Amino acid sequence: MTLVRTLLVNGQRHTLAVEPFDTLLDVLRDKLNLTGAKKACNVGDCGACTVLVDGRPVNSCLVLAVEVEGRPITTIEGLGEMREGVRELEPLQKAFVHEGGIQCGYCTPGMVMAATALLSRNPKPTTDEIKNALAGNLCRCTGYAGIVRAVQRCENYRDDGTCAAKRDGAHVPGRISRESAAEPGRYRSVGESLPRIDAVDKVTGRALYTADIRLPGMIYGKILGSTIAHGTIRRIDVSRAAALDGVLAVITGADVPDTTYGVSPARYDEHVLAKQKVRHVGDPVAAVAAIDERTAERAVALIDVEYDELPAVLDVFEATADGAPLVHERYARNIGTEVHQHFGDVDAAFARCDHVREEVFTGNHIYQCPLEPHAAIARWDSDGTLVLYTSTQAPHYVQYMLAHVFHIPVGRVRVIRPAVGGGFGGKAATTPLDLCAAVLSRKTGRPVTMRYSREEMFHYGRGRHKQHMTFKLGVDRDGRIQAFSSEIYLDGGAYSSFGVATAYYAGSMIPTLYHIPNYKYDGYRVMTNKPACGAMRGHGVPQPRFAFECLLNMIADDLSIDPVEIRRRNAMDPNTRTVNDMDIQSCEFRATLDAVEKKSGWRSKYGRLPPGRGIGIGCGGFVSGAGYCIYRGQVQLSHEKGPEPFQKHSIFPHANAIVKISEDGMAAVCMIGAAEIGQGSDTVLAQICAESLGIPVSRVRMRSEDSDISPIDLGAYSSRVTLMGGHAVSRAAAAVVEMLRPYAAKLLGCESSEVRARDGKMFVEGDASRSVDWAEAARKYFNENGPLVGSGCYKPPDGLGGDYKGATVGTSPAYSFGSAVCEVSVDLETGKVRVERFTDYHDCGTPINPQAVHGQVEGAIVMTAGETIMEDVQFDAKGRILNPNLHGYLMMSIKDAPEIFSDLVDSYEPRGPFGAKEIGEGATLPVLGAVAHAIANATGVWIKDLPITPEKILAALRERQRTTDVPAAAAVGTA
Amino acid sequence: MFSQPTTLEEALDVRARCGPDLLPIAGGTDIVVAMNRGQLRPAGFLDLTHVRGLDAVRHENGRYECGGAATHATLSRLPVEALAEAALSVGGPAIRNRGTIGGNLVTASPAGDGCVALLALDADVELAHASRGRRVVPLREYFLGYRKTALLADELITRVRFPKDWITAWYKIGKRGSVNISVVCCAIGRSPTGLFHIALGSVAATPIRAPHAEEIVNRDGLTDGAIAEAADAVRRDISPIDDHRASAKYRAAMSVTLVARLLRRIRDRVKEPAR
Repeated sequence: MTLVRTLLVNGQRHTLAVEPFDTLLDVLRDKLNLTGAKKACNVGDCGACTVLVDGRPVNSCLVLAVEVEGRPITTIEGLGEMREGVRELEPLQKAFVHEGGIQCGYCTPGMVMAATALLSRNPKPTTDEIKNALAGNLCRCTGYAGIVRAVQRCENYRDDGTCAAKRDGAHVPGRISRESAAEPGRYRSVGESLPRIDAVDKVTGRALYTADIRLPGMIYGKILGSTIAHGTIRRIDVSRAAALDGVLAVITGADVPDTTYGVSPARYDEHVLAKQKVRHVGDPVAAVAAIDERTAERAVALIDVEYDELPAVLDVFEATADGAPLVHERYARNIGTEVHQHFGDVDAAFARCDHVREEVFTGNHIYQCPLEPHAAIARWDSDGTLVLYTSTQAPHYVQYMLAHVFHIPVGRVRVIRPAVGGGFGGKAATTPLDLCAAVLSRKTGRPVTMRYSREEMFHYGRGRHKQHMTFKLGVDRDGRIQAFSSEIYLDGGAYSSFGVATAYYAGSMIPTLYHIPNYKYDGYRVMTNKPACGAMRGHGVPQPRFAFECLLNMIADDLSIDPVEIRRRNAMDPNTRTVNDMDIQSCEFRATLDAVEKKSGWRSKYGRLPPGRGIGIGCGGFVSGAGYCIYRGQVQLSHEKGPEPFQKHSIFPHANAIVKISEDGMAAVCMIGAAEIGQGSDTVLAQICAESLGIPVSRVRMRSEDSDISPIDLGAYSSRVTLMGGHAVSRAAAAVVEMLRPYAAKLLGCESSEVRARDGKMFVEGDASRSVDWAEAARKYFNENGPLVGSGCYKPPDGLGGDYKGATVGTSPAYSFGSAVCEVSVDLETGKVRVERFTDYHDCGTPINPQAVHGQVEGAIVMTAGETIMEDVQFDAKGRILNPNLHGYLMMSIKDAPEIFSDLVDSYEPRGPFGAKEIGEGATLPVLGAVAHAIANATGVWIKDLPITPEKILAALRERQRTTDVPAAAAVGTA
Repeated sequence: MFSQPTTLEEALDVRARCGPDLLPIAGGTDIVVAMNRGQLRPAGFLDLTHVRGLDAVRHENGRYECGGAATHATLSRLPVEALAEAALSVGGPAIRNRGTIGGNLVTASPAGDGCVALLALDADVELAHASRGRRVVPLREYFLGYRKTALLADELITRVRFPKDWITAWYKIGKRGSVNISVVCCAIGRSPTGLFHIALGSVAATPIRAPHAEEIVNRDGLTDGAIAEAADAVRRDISPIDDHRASAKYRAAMSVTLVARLLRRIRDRVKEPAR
């Protein structure tokens, strides 16, 4: 039944045909092309679709369009006064841009609308009022800190200039950028807290994410997932689905290539659609393409599948038991990867230790939950090129994998990465959406788009591995570490994905933070009938780091040594080769310890807080980019290629950039395939580009989204982009400056070697008064030679790592370090934890953009604190997920987020561009241990399995009351 | 099929004629969720959002009377502590701007925060039919079983009535600071005559009253001993289950903790000098 209704949207009347069950969100997005409001959960859990009706915020995904006929509706596109055809930014929008309120941008329109409603009735809200008003809007990137700042400081942005005018050299109010470590004032763009270059697009709803793009003739695909955890397909009948009106194609395992795919070349164990066996609930079985998404959903429901069910294994111990059913025939005892590393002699060292403690820790199933669900659009061009738009953080590996599966050259695959609404590792691999869309597009001859629902995202998985860890640590009487041994079982789910690397990372990062002379690690990555686990922020390391930090704190208490002091005694030093052959260059770990101790008031608090209040410390260190590529050899068609011997150097550059100057010299286009996924890489690379060229950032445009335009960068994983992409860009820019020198020199009447570039001028070194416009030199160059183009690339140093099996994992040009102190309060009657405050100091080298660094820290703290106490994907006995949504899977809301103080210690990394190294992943690592320690300090009980829920705390408190007479909160940290 | 009446009479008439074929919808915060999840595909809707006055709250004779389409946002502004706090603990502001008390009562989730607060206020609910007229059901008799209520398929919830001046208290244990489904919630209302009405959510198939606990404090008042005894007695009133949010054991323990905590809070209030 179609109704004709008039909607009043952003002051304009739209009379259109709607169905009674059309939601306002679908009508806005699909019929009015207002794609600022996002569909991120479609059930009212996340707030990304927030619009105003009658000036009040509503979840447009839960409002029927017919219900709001005639009522004024305001979307993000309707904010701001229209002036000369352009909407000016509202002060609130400017505040979001300048206060770090935006990262991936997917929550931004909803946040801004909710805050707009608040400010319209309460222009000067308190922090609590802000948090209450935004309590229904989830953000996964910012930790809410920048968002709260933006609303608080909105007032400062009234009667201010436009954002574009503020981009050059604008300091962010209240967040003072640090001078570069080397020479104050030496740099113009680098070291400045410039607003994100995509911030204005994101705060106005203009930024286009994959699901916002509509191509002519585009149709919609949907995947049918297995309903059982383990079994074989006896029969699939697609006839009812194929017969449905509007269905254009139905495919099953018989219609997809036989080539398997995955992440690690030795473990390509996934089929595009199940050929015979299904291995987890949600495992892709069939797919359809139809004229619209609703028809595709209905068609999928009409596919009849009969399974022969097999017994499922749902946990690592069950899976490795004798006679357990095998998830894959090829992995005996369901162990896909085994790691055995032993450096020094732990047994002999333990025998000499004054104190040895062994504990068992258990992690949890964590899911990245980026606000933007995965999405893809595939089309085949007439020349046979496969074009894929996809929400990915590693476009090159997607390109490589599509070439592999479809047996075409990498050069015949074009990957376009539109704006990406967060990844955190969940978008690092090629998805069934990418592959099925390509198959369906080839079959129908039309562009096919596919999007995961929030529930499907959970079934796709690739979250953090749940790890079962037995850790043994031995120290001398002063608390100096003598030996450490660990055994870890990683619950991998049904496919290998990144799991080989995960299993190695779980061990490799432990000896980079503290000196550990004798070290042993045994790891087992186990296949289970659950969605595959993959690489999540901190890849493999957060849970072992949590366990290690807890154990170190326990030992500190055992020996009556202050937890900060025991760390100082063991802290890593610069220019060290670790026991597992990692090359540490810069390292200011001790400085971070000293700084958090002082800033947090540690000495006046630790051991001195009343029951129910606690303080704890945790630390961490991480790679600034993986030292080696995921596949070996050159960029070529991998399915034709035999295994190549490993060589200890990069065959091809990991990051590559081209800088092209416009013919008038007024714009620089920086092309690099580095994936901007919300972390801010485009902004940081633009700053580096501008700095190296000697022009303002406002003249730099980034082109990082299209593999036809931008040369390979391996992607946003292993915290590699600032360091590796930064080098490639600075080298490409330097090449341009080199080419300009002779022309500038001629204009200036000096030697080429004397020419310097800065602030859009080229001048004679030592005499800035003798200068010409940078653009004029560029024009002169063009007149003589045509296009002014420079290129640059980066390869990690040769010879990284040792010579043992798995020595490549954990290698990196540089390592970050950090320390965090957490303060909590715990309701001792209910076990409820409130994370009150975090104090964090990091050594990320010399920051390119301090505000972006703090944004990463704030986001990592809130994400990981939630991971420590709230988040857990839960399964029933049949392997079905019990909480595949954002009200059952609990990421922290703005009301849970702690107050955060984030700062940096002075540091300079000789192997980093302008001295920089990573922050994005390393910032997660101190958090789990710090929270766990603070809870133990508040309650007197250690909870060693994550998440640390109220229920576990209460059970432990009651158990202790039953068995001892120790009053609450007397056992930890009062020695 | 779609009907969008503007008067209650019209709405009742459509409801009586079409019954379950047209799903009544107001805020949509439960219905559209189920629809978007593919769990519900109604033949049509009876849209109540345009019915004049159905979202209003009136105050007379010491009682509030709120329309079935009164939103959580509206209820959160009433000076009835338990109800206002319960309403404020539902979803986020956008959900509260749409979700209604009538919807809360129709859904009848065991975790329905508003239902629990209203039970502690010994509220009445008015169910109306176009020709049979209106019947008033005490809320404690309204919940019949897991998501089953006394509402018939040809009736609408038109009014909810509850007292204005009771001393009330509310506490919800959830797992997150907002958009937070209760693990256990508890509301207690004390009538001016000193009778206690103890209600809990998420500990049985429906929101419940706790007669065993009530009996003790109604008999013995709010002595330390009576509070402890009443809190312990609540174990006989509840029948919690294990689910992914919490174990039955934790829910039982928290029911005891919350009843004690809220009774103490009410005792503190009663002692406060009259304002």
